[in-house]
Amino acid sequence: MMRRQSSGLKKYPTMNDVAFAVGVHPTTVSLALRSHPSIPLATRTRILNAVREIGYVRDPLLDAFNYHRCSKHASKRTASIAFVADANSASLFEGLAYHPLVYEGVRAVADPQHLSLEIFQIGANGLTASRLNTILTSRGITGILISTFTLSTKDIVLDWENFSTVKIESHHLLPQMDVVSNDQCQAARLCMCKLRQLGYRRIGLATALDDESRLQDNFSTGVLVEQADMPASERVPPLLFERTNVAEISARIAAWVKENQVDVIMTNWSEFFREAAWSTADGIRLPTDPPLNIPRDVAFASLDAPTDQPHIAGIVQNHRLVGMRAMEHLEVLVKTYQRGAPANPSGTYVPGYWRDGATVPHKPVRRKVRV
Amino acid sequence: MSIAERPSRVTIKDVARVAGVHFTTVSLALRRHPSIPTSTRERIEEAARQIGYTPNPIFGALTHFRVHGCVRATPPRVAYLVNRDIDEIPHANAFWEGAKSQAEILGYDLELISVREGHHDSKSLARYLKAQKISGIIIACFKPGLLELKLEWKDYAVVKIHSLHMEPEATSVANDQRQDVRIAFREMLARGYRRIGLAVGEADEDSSQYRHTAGYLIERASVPVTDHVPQLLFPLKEDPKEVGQLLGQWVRKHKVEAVLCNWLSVRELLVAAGLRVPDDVACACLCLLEGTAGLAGVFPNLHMVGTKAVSLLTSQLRQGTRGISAFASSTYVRSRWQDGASAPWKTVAISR
Repeated sequence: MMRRQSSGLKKYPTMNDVAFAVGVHPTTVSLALRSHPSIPLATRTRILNAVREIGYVRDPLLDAFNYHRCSKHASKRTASIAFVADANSASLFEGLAYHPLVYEGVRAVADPQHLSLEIFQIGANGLTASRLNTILTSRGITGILISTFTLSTKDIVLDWENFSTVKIESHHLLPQMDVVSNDQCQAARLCMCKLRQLGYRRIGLATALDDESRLQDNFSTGVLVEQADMPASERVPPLLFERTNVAEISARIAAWVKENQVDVIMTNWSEFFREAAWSTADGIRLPTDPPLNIPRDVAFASLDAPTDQPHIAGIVQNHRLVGMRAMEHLEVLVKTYQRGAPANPSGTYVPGYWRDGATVPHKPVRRKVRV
Repeated sequence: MSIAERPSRVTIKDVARVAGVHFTTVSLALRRHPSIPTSTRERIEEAARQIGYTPNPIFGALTHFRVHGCVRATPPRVAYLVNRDIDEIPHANAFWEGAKSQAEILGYDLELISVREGHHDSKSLARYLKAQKISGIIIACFKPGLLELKLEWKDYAVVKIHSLHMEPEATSVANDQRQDVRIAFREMLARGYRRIGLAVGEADEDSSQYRHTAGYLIERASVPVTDHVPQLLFPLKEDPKEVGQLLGQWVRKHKVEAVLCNWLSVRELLVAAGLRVPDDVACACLCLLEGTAGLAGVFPNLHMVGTKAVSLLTSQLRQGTRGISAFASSTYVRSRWQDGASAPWKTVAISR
């Protein structure tokens, strides 16, 4: 076999080159790149700058070798990515709900890359943010996926500059990080297009005020963009309600439907369907005054159609893909040593798709009767 | 313990036996080689999953060493496609700089390729990419109305920077124009301006799926109807002189107090139309660049947009994703506001 000329090989920078440039020992470089707490922040910054300048990257083949070697020692295996959730949202981990799908997507990307994952629930079993910080630091975990947090959690205090972080959904949660979420604006737009194709003309958006502020007015924006191309007579003003109780919200919806002659309610809020059973023959009766029947009086399209209730038509959100995109994003951040809150955070949006259902029957186009 | 009794690892030969194919077929299928039909591949993947086969990284490294004489692969190449001369366009150049540096960090070799008159057309590009074994492409900031690009998309991993007006439906990255307009609108409101108007190019709107317009509509919905200004769209073929005239007429006709525009020359255009800035009309640029003094507006991080494009592409390449995705994601990078003399606080006007 012919030996390659050594001059023909491209010289790849190694950790030794970085160490030489900065004037530290190679082991210091190694520790700094893993954000080890024993290395002062100033030194680490200096080393990271040198890494960028020299263009050092981890060798994936050596990584693979290392992984294989380490995997022989079961005790040494530690999580390299933390999936952080809210104890309040624990119920979402059950059944067909949101979290398991997101988590499945995360796993689908992490597993082939040999990244292990561990779930942490802040608030459960006395796990505080500062305790979590200690755990993550001592285990050398540098990647964090922040899963959906309820609005009651405004911020989490961790030593963010030590971690690469990607948030899922929770736009409201401080500090500002790169976020991956469902594309709510696209959901509203696609939903309106489908409803118009099905013959509906008075399409009304009803959503909670706090949802809109959490999701950056994405639903309303989608509606406004679609309405811009519609005749003025078909533009229904959105109903933004305070999140109180089902009865009060139902009453507001009923009044709004009547006043605006809404022929289909478009909403991300499907509590009605939890309270009363759906019947194929009679649909469902909303607990409003006067009672409204879906779909006889008004049709109903969900902007987040639950997978376990196939009679609800609307947009199905790709939660699994959201998990995948978030993990891919985080992997690059971890690998390129981008720690801390970015100066220009980004948002990544995953589109959903339309699903037919009994709550939105095809509507025969009515001829306008001229008097 | 004899050799026969030793628990053996699961290999691709075991997968081959279960799936009823030759083991080289398994190898090709697991690398998603196009010569293996999808149905066969899925069957093999299912078999691999069932009996718990995972590739052994050591053998991978060893094979590489044997074949190439070094443990490190030569950096894979990816293409960065443009349909204009980007040296002339500072914005386009900023995307490219960001993409280039991220490619270096991630160990990819990024090649700038022009698709336009006198350079590549779709046919020659396809040949070139094939010959160079390039399967990852970034479609960077294509301007609508120029040469069309048609490739067999199923052979490539694709990420787009803007360029939303064209095929294929792929993962895209852009600066967050919707949020940019929202920031600018609110900053202008806070400074005391009332009739705030949006003036952008039709080409820019087309390639961003009307993101500026979306931001404008949602912000305008929060102010009284009497303060609503219909937006101005510059025609597709933009001639600066004509745009200046349009801008002047529109400002006068609708009594616009503050102009939001994505053109860097917005102030000069207004002045050329005989308007004094900021005395007659204030303005904010929606896409500021380094070194533009005195102009208020939104400062996008275009470098970061290029960076993200490469990150997304490499994720796809590593996972072997090719072709058009039914659910392509869009990534938007936030910008920041910058004060400037073109939009001063209006306190004086109020006290008068």
